[in-house]
Amino acid sequence: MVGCVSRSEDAAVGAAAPSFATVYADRYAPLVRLARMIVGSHAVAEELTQEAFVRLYGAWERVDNPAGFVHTALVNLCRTHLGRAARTETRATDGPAPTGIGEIDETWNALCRLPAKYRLVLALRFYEDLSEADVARVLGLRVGTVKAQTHRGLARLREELS
Amino acid sequence: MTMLSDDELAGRLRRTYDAVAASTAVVTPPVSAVTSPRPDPVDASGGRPSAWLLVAASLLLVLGGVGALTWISPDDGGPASSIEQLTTRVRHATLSAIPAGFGLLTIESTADTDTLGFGDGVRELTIRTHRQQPGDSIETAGGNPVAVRATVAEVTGSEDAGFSVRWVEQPGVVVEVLADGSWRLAEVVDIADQIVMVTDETWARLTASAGFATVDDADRVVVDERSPEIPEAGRMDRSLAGSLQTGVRIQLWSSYGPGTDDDTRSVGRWVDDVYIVTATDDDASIRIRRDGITIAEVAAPRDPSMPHRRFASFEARGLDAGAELTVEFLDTSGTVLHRLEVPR
Repeated sequence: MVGCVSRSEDAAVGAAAPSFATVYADRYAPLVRLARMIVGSHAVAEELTQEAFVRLYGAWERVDNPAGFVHTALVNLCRTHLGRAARTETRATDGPAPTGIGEIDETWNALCRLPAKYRLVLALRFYEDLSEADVARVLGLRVGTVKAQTHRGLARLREELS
Repeated sequence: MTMLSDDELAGRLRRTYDAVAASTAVVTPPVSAVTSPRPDPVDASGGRPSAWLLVAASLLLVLGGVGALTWISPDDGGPASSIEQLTTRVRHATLSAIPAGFGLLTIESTADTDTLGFGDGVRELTIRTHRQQPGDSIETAGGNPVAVRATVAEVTGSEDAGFSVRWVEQPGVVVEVLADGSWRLAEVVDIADQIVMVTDETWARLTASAGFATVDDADRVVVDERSPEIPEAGRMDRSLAGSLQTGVRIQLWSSYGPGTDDDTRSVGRWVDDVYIVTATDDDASIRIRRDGITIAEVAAPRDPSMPHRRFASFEARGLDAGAELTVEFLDTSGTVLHRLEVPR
């Protein structure tokens, strides 16, 4: 298995910096899954993830933390996609429930009906298990905003499930 | 159904995410899928201006490290990597405080139109445009309105749908957006915050929220030289803008000539090796010489929004630190009207 090693970690052990191919191989699948949790659609998630890696490739020489860069780029792309989809009312999801497990599919479908900002915050908070401070940093929001959006997102999800 | 507590709901959410993630089979495409040059910048950018459009107003020059010249122009083509680089450069973007809130503001640019999208909570939107002179700060530009003032009142959008406003880009014109609305205090620091954007032919897409501004695809954002020092990492101060979210490194432009009077010529070095030449209406072309040897000559097209000014740009990369550039301003007959030394 190819390990994900930041450049600073590489330096610490005297190893060579990871190649783009290494970062790509290591991070592609997890990022597709993250994007799917945010945007709902597997196909869109793959497109956005590829675009994020295109950006990483273009900026490779200037990037100190490739994994962090591509993660943030992907989150921004998801955010842009959701905003655009909301304005054009073209929200793409995978349609049928994904797992065949009642509670899971019910929750997933409710999740996909939430406004974009809540889906983004909830995915980072509860899928990636980022702290509120880290979510705030990634999204460029204040911690108070993240707390409020998390609370409202859960409330909306509760409404959708009731 | 029993009402779930936040903790119970969070647990259910985590189980859902885990199950969906486990059911998401991902086949990683070959790395070449993201490293191969894209054949058409228009297609690749999703409708943003192509590299050709971006450089149409001026011929850009790249000087190779060993003196080899590579021209990039709308006509003769250039290396794919260079084209990509041009599409990712925004040469003129200045912003001030940014309203907070998710997706509050997005800008999407097509060939000649910007679409401003707002999220929820915005009730009133004022758009003002001003003519921007090179070197102007936001304050001076804001005090010199010359174009339109439009107010879109009582704009209401659904929580998620938002709305949009379009305007046509004009090179050198500041588009100032003041948004007011019923934002909740948890989501915004101040109402009636202000966003100022300066557009020119290289304008790309800008996304801003919560104190961050992201110029998509930009590898550098040029900010006013009077701006306070920008940290290299971390959240930007609200008095300034620029994003490090996508790894963008903000650089203050290193110098700029006076360039505000009609009869003043100047050469400004913006970032790294990109130079902007401000010329007068008498100047038809710009000749660049290095250590007395002519290395390039570029046209100085007239800027439609600034009829008495002409602008050209060139990029000098890889020159020795001690190399000196001379920029000559020529009229239509090839006579040198003015000469400026540009130390590196």
